[in-house]
Amino acid sequence: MLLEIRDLKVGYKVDGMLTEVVRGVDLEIRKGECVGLVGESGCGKTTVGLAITRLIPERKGKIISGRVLLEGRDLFGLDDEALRAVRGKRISYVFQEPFSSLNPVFTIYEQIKESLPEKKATDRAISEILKAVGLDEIAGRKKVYPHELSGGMQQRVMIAMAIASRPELLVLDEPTTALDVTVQKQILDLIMELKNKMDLSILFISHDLNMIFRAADRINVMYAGRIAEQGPKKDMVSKPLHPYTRGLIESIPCIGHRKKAFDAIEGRTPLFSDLPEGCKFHPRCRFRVEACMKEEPGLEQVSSGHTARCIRAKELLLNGAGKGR
Amino acid sequence: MIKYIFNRLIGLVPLLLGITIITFAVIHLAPGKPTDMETQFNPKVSMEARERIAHLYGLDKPLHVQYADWLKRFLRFDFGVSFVDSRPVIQKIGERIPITLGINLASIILILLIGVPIGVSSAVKEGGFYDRFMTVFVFVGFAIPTFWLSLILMDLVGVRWGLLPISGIKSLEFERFGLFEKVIDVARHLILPVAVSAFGGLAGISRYMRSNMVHVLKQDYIRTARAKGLKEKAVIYKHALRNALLPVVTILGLSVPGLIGGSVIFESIFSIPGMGRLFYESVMARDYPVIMGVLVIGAMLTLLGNLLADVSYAAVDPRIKL
Amino acid sequence: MNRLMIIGAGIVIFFGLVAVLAPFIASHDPGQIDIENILTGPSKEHILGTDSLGRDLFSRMVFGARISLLVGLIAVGISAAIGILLGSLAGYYGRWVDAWIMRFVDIMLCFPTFFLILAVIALLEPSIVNIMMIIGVTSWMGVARLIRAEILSLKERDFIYAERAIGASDIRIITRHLIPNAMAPVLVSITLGIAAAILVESSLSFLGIGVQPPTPSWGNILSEGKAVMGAAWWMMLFPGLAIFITVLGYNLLGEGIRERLLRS
Repeated sequence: MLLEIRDLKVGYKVDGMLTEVVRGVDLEIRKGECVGLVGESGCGKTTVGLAITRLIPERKGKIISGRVLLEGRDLFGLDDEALRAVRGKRISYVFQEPFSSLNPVFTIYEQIKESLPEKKATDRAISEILKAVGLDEIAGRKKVYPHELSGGMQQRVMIAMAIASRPELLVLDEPTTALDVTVQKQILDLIMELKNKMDLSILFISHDLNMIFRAADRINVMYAGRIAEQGPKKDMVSKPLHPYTRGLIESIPCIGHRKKAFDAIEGRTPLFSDLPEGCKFHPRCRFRVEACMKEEPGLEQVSSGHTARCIRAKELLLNGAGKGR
Repeated sequence: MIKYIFNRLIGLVPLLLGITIITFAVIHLAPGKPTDMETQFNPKVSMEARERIAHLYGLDKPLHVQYADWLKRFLRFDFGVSFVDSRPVIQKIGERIPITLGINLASIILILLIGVPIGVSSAVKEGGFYDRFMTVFVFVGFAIPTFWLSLILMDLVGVRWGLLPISGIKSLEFERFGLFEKVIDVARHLILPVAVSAFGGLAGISRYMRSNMVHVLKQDYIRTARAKGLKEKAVIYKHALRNALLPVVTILGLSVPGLIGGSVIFESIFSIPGMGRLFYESVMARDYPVIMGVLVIGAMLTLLGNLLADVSYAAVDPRIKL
Repeated sequence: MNRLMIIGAGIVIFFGLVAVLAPFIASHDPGQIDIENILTGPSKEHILGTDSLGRDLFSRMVFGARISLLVGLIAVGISAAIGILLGSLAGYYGRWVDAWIMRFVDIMLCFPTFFLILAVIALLEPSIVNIMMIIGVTSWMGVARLIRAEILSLKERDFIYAERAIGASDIRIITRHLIPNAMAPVLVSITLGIAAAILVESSLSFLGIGVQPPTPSWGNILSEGKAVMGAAWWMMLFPGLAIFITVLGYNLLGEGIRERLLRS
């Protein structure tokens, strides 16, 4: 096991009050595996990614409890110095907005150089890295600034910075969302190519289930600050357990085959300051029963390696309600 | 780059023309003729001088001809001669400008050296005790009248404690000093004026710096820098600071008129023979040609400051291509 | 109401009341000369001491508040009127009207304001009316820019189109709809402008080219204080404090209003 997240709870400060937005998340990433974390915006998935190396700004939020184990060592127990030795070296990030994530007043060359250990930061090494992410045309050029590149190229730079020091884990937070559709595929292909070449493990965070299905080996579905369902990709596609996952799958136009694709999940994500009683999904759930409103269910194993936070998971799976409706 | 500066200079022409029009209008704003005014309030002005003014302003000619004549002389930097000592105005201004600019430059440097660190450290500890203390300091800095501050410092430091000279820029026995002593002497004379002129600007720059820095620290690229595992010092002093400093260049350019205007106050309090004091004395003596000259030159210095600010901004921000 | 606003408004109201009620608050006639008691320090009889003519400093400062506030308020009134007029013309009519007015603003901004004020004073007499006029005429540019920017964004809104559709005149649209809606940021600028005007007036009076003695103003009392430096600390401390606190009050109020506007 490369990374284990155990019972992670994170709060954000709103008007001086701490509101829990990650309410106890468990997640595992094995070596060489690509794990997807999917959910609507505002479900807390980005926060999970940032919390791994304590990147949540102090003025904004706080890690309340939980552990993050990197090969068994608790990252939350490290001091700042030791944590910096993990950030960017063993665990790297690629964020959603490449343009705003690159510092506008430093050259690409300088910014990649920073990601390398001082001894290895040679011009040649930097050129190699740029070539590795398909930026041959700016390899060897020192005076290129971020604003001179297209969005796709900027994201390639972000990826170059992330892989520069050969990390074990790559956290990709919506790496393709801000890009044109045609560029999205190129970036995804690049990520997959690098994963195989460098034996990377990946945490792929996205709201786009389609993208997650293409990239991930195992998938975690997140809802209202908790994992709603977790399992291998093929199980999730063929027999989703949680009604929320079903809704997400049905809202992918080319898979769901429905005209009313957009109505697949009614209502909106609840506010963290105003979560419903019982199962947090019940107000939007078409399978809800009386018991759903009373108590929030735990994450239960339904088949091998496939778990869901729904009291009717098994029952619904047996009578195939998802497909039949 | 050169083309950009050239274009900017061309763009300044209408502004310069406007400045001359307003200055010219101010001359003719006074009730009655300027010649009457001058002679009426200044008994020193002789008949001969009166004729000279009449000739200078060509008051017998139509208004547009007067303006054209005035503009022609202006283009040669010919502002006439002073009523007080009959010396050419441009010469009088010329010998005063270096002192005023020197003091302002020194105070700008002081403002940056103190204001930038204050702003940065307030922003880094946003909302903390230090930040709140500095907010109070900034409000005090904005509200404290420069001339009052000058008086208090003169009284305490100069008169009561006798630590520093409070008047002029050199001692009486200056000529007998060696070079090193001369430098020290001038420096001692300038400490109070520079401190006073820096104080007001300090509040502005540190507040501006703070809000820039607060804004920059929330940007995505700061998160990227942290995610790389950079030291917090590198994140703040390399990645954040350079971005937060860029707009300060512009603000410095914009603060030129305020600084020059403010020089009237501290130069007359500390009896510093700069442009501000010259202006004040000319106003008191109604030395008309000098007043107009200083007014135009002051406005031109402002234009120059803005131009310098734009050019240096373009030079330091890689996103701007010249 | 936030804390800045409360403190600022408190100071502003306090000095406002002092100015209005000056004749009732003053313990002495501010012009009454008393050769027996020249430059005496604070005492029971003269709580802030006396000046070099034996006049009661407290009473002079109370009446000085009238002058300072009056000059500040009217000067800003003038500058706001000019700024709102030119700013709304520029914003509403656009094109060449806008181009000319904004060019004019740019030119005015080139002059070091204090120089311009001094130059005009050199021409006119330094009477209180002239000082208010001059400060007003040289400080309207900020308001003009603000109003113009607000109106540029407001005039494309639906309710303005609706007004035009029912045939409302330009003047009606500008005065009834655009200006009232554009006033919020201008309010901040006006409040801060009062502080600036009070500072300018006191600077001028201090330099001897503002309010002329024997009329008391905080600035010219300080000027007298400079002449007796080292001999009468009260002559320097109290008027300076009064200017400082008043200016601070208006600044706090202005910042408080700004903060409130930002939040809503």
